[in-house]
Amino acid sequence: MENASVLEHELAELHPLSFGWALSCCRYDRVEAEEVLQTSYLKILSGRARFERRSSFKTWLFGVIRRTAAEARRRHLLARIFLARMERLRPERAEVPGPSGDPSVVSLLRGLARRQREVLELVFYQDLSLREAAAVMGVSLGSARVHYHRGKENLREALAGRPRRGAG
Amino acid sequence: MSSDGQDDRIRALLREAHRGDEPRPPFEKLVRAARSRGHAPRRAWALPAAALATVASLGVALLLVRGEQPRSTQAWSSGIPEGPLDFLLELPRPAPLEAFPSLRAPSQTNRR
Repeated sequence: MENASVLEHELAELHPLSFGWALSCCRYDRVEAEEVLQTSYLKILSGRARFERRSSFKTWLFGVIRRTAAEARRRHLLARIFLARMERLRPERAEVPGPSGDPSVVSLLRGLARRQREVLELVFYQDLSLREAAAVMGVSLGSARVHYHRGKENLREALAGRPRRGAG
Repeated sequence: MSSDGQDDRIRALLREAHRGDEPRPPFEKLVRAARSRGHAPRRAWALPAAALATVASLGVALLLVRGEQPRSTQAWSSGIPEGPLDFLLELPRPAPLEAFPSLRAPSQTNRR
């Protein structure tokens, strides 16, 4: 994908899905997701991340977004530790608006381990195959399968213990 | 619950979690912001400047350390007291080697 305009066109087409995936990688935090997506686009448009056709464009793009979110997570963690130690301040995230979706559903999903949530998002929301999800997550197919089954099991248990809406 | 039923439920749950995704940030806005970040002038010189500053500070630190070393050695070897307790290191005078007897010249006590 040498042509920059073709690259930009592909990114624009996948933008809605990319934002959904960025939200999931950022635990449904809109502000952080926007920042991660912007950094991912910067990496791609500046050529720091190159598409080498070893997978579909979508799989590769989702992998870039996932890695960028992981970097942001580490950076924010270090910043929070630094702020807490040096200034005894509350972390900035406390001021960030809450998740955009249904809070009870979001907290249910947040309760899952990160990799379990990721694989369920990729398979059930982004309609990727398990093999593609493994490629995005940078793990083997077997490992992705384990996360998938454990995620489903944990979600089922969480749903069973969740009080029904409107039940009182 | 059957496997298909459970899958459908998870699908519905995720759709619900993403119901609030709208409004999404416009693609053009993100690309414009990304491009302006990419063209920021600091990126061009920030890395070499940081490397230069590191090398310069290391050099200055090395010079300071090496410049201080002879002074302290000189102070110890010459016996010049510098600290409040350095008088404890002073040797009794005259120095013992100056009073060492010569073997060639016989002393007064031997002649008697």
